[in-house]
Amino acid sequence: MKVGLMALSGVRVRNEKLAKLGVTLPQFVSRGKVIAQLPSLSLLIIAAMTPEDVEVDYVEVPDVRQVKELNTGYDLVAITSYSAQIYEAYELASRYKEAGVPVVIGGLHVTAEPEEAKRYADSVVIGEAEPLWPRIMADFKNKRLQPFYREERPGTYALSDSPMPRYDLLAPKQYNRITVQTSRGCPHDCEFCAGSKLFGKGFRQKPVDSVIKEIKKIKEKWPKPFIEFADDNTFVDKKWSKDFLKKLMPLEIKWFAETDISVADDEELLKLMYHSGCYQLLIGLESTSEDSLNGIEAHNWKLKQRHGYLEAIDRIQSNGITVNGCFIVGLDGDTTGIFRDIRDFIEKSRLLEAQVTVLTPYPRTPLYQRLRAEGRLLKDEFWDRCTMFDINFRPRNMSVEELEQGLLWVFKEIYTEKEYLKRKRHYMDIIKKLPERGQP
Amino acid sequence: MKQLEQEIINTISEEAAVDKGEINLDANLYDLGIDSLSSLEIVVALEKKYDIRISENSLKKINTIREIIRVVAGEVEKKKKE
Repeated sequence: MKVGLMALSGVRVRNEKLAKLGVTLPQFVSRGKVIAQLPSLSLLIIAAMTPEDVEVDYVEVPDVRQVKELNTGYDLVAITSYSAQIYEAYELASRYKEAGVPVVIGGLHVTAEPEEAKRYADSVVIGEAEPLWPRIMADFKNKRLQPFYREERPGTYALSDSPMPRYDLLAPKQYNRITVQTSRGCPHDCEFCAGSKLFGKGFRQKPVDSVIKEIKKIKEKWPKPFIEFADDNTFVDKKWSKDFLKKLMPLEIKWFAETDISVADDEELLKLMYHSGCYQLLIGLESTSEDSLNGIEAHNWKLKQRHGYLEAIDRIQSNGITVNGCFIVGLDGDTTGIFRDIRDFIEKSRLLEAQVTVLTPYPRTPLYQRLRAEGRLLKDEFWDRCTMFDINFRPRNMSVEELEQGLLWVFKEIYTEKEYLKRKRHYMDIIKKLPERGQP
Repeated sequence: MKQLEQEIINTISEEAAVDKGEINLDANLYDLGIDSLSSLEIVVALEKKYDIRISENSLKKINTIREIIRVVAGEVEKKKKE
């Protein structure tokens, strides 16, 4: 028996003006390329949970339209995709079904929209795959594949039970970065976040030794890997973090993670990050405007941090760790002045990299439900436009056109080579003065 | 010049974990597995090694290993004349 595990890969932008502008902006293209090349960790985990007598193929599909001839040498195909590529995933699923190959589909989007997904696939996985995949495989072998597999208690699967991902399925030269997961969820309850809601509330962490074991496994294939920690918020638990980083240091890797600004308050943690090979932290600053931060999460944690943003970024970058600051435009508190404010903030803070995206109501998130109730969604279904660069709702204090124009303007301002080189030179001058990594 | 070129290639190979034999001087850095963050660290390592400082304008030109060699060699020459 042979199973084809397929991920729809790549980054999508539907807005033609932005897509056209994007290809001329080196920094925008650079991060896009990195994301597009990351392997699908969920499929590598599923592969590890597949019985040994079943052969697995790991396949990335960057563009369904380019797949002229299907590889139909599978007994079962499992597909995963984000919202922006979901119609492409459905097209792939339909083609396999037509060719007589049964299809199982999973991931965040179909967890939100299982009935929709069922129209294209034989079976839909609702929730995290780990607790469900063994049953799916057993049912398939016994010819009783069910239409839906629903995780009974979302958010309770213990990450200590998650198996070693099948990194051996990846072709070494195809990947500049390898993904490793240390946790799921996030303690912040941002209204727009899909990841930390649909797979269950709460924050779950993998034991340090399991993560270290995974990295050692990766090193067997990539001796000096660049690891991207595929978490919503890696350094929530500072005690876990320090223990982890101390054990990571001797492995001599380079790494990238997503976390929140609270790491800046802990000098020891920052030093451990630098010496264990941290090259960049991606931090959701979300906005420069207090009005815009107000209410994006239940406890207004990010609003309370706003006054310290500049100092915190400086503290992190002074420790030799670049910050990729993420901002969202189109928040309810935003006025047309937000674009200039963000541009000025990036210049002043000297963030090495910045990511400005548009507020995106992913299906079934609280944001989606609210905007729908307020009659502000431009369409009820717009999944292929959930790219974080396309506008799908009416902003509160500006028109759709003003939001689009503002986004294009801020892109041109912050992603130009001249501005980036200024920030790059500043950071290079900082790290020149620091000790070698790994020698605290 | 040949010796300097070899030293620079050694540093790049070590920093970016790329086999020396696989280094194509004219290949785009990204295609060699060297993204913008890694290339930044490579240039800093070379600046430290030769006690030079590469200007923003010269950083702009660095997209291949041959360009790194040219820019670094130029700065090293400049420093010798100082």
